[in-house]
Amino acid sequence: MLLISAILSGLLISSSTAYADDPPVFPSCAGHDSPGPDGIVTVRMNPSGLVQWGVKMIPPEKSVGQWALITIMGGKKTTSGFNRFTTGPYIPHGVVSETKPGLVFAVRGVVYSTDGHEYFVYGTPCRVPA
Amino acid sequence: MTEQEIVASVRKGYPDGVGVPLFVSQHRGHAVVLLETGSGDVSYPYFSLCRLVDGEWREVNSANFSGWYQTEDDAGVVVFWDDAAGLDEPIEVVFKGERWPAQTNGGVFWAVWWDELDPSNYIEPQWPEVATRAD
Repeated sequence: MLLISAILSGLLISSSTAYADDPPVFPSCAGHDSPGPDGIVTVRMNPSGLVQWGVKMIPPEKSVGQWALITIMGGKKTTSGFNRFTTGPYIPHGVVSETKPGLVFAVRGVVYSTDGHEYFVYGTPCRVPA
Repeated sequence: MTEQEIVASVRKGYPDGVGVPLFVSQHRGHAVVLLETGSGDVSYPYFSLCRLVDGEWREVNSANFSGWYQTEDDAGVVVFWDDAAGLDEPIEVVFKGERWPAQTNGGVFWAVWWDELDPSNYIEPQWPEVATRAD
């Protein structure tokens, strides 16, 4: 559990790094799919301005195991998911409603799969559109 | 403010008859709700955090897992819920070294702690766990 915390804390620090010169250009959260080697982080803005997010592991068998997730909005952790142990395919998802245009949103996590591997969820951050 | 108003704020968007409240707790302008959003024999609890803004409850964060949810700059609410099947009742949980009773409803247990730091921020993470006889 300590390892999970350390990994997620490191990811939080890296995602809120300040850039002195050219700030990174993030894609819009309006329709953002961020595929990785083990799955995909999907972010959508709904018409009410809510940020909807989800994580789908590919194949779904990778999602069976112990999960830890955080969501970050504007450099602040808004959600820190409990280390849930799942026995079947699992798609963690949620909604963050308190946003402002321009804030950067990110989802980070790790799953210790029952297949014996660790899979990291590290989608590209996105920016809340105006 | 009544629990009905809180529940109504998170049931927006669900079809009629879906979203049965299992648990509600409120604390100084915030509320947490666990809705049963499954149907038939399939249980699917879904968690929501609400904030009282200008006299109205608004859902500000939601997800399909237990955890810590930010309510202020560094403080938040820790919610611990899961399937109660196979657990001996009354269910107790351990959080930061203390035993606490958990509520149960609809086959789900639930415990809440307000004004807490993110448990993963501690050097040794302090996530709640179901108590065992040895705790």
